[in-house]
Amino acid sequence: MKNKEVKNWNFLLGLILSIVILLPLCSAGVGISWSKESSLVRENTKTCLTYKVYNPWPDDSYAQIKLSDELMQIMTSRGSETEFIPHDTSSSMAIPVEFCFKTPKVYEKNCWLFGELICKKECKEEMKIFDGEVEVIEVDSPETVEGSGGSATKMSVSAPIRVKVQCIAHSRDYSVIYIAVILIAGILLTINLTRKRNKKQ
Amino acid sequence: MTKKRVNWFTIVLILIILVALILLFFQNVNAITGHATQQNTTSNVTIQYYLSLSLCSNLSSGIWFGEVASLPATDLNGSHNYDGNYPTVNGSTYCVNISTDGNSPVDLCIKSDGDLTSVAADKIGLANETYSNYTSTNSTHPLLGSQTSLSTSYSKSGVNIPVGNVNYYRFWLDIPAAQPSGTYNNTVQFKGVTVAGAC
Repeated sequence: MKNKEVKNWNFLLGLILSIVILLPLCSAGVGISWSKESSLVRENTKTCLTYKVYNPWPDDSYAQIKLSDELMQIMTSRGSETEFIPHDTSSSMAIPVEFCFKTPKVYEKNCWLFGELICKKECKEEMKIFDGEVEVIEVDSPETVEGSGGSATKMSVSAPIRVKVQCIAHSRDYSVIYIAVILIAGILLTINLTRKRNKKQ
Repeated sequence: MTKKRVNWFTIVLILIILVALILLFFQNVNAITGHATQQNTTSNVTIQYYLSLSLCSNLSSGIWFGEVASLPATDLNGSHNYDGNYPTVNGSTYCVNISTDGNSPVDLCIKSDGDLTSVAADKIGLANETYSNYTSTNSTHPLLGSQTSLSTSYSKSGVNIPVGNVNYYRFWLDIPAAQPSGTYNNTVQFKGVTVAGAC
């Protein structure tokens, strides 16, 4: 009976010692949870995805979501606001963060005027696919500076993302011509009716 | 009885406007829903992944090489390369923890933002800053003999590290003889990705 008690005390002491020794080794951290790795979007459109961030570590942390450098060269994104992630936030309690980016114009269109008007799009090219990552970056805390000469450190976790840009084919768009015709005819009609009224008077 | 004069010009103009309006309608009727500027995305993956990591407090505080009195200096130790008492004496306390609250082993990537640079814009080339990593630590591991230079693009510095494990690092710096005095700094970045994922 006494032996069992002693064993229990030893186990408890060991556990406390492990925690005391290991805890100072950890600082704040960040985690990312995701369930989407690819996205089918139209070109030149704003797209929003939701990622979850968490922090199972003993210290609070701040994090930002942004696209990796290779995708930043193609997509337009401002990144997310800085998110506060409280300590001991497990993956099951992860905080959803919406993150938006705009896809570029990637498919050729055949235009008659100024490269933008009276256009048609045939979509003969293969679907454009861009691979990269969405990164959750731990934002610096001011208290991390220890010495003078050397390297500051930063950390991040990332999730892969594949952006498939969809091409929507359309026939030549003559809307500009129709609008111009309506405007010209409208002006002529107004002038004609005004003259007629003036003659009557 | 006076015959009312028909104004053909007005009629033709009205007809032109009507036809143009009809054509404009048919041109855009398919595009009404197609030219939206914002839309929801379609996803084709439903598997959930989650991973988390944290820098050990000594690594989070930065990699510092102290004051150097004589040059050249070779393999100058980072201040926490050998100051560990746990799990063994003289181990490194530069480490990255992989959380147990994850469902995928992790690959770790490392890079720097550039040369160590002083306020006077003097530089110590990034090739002079080296590291070595290992999944455990003692007085020999991570090995000095396995040192690799940092670069400005990410490279793997630990692969397939299971959840709940730790990856240890050591850092060294070479300073050439003719290096001007000053305080030199840069930033080293660590990134966790799923196994076999690109950095």
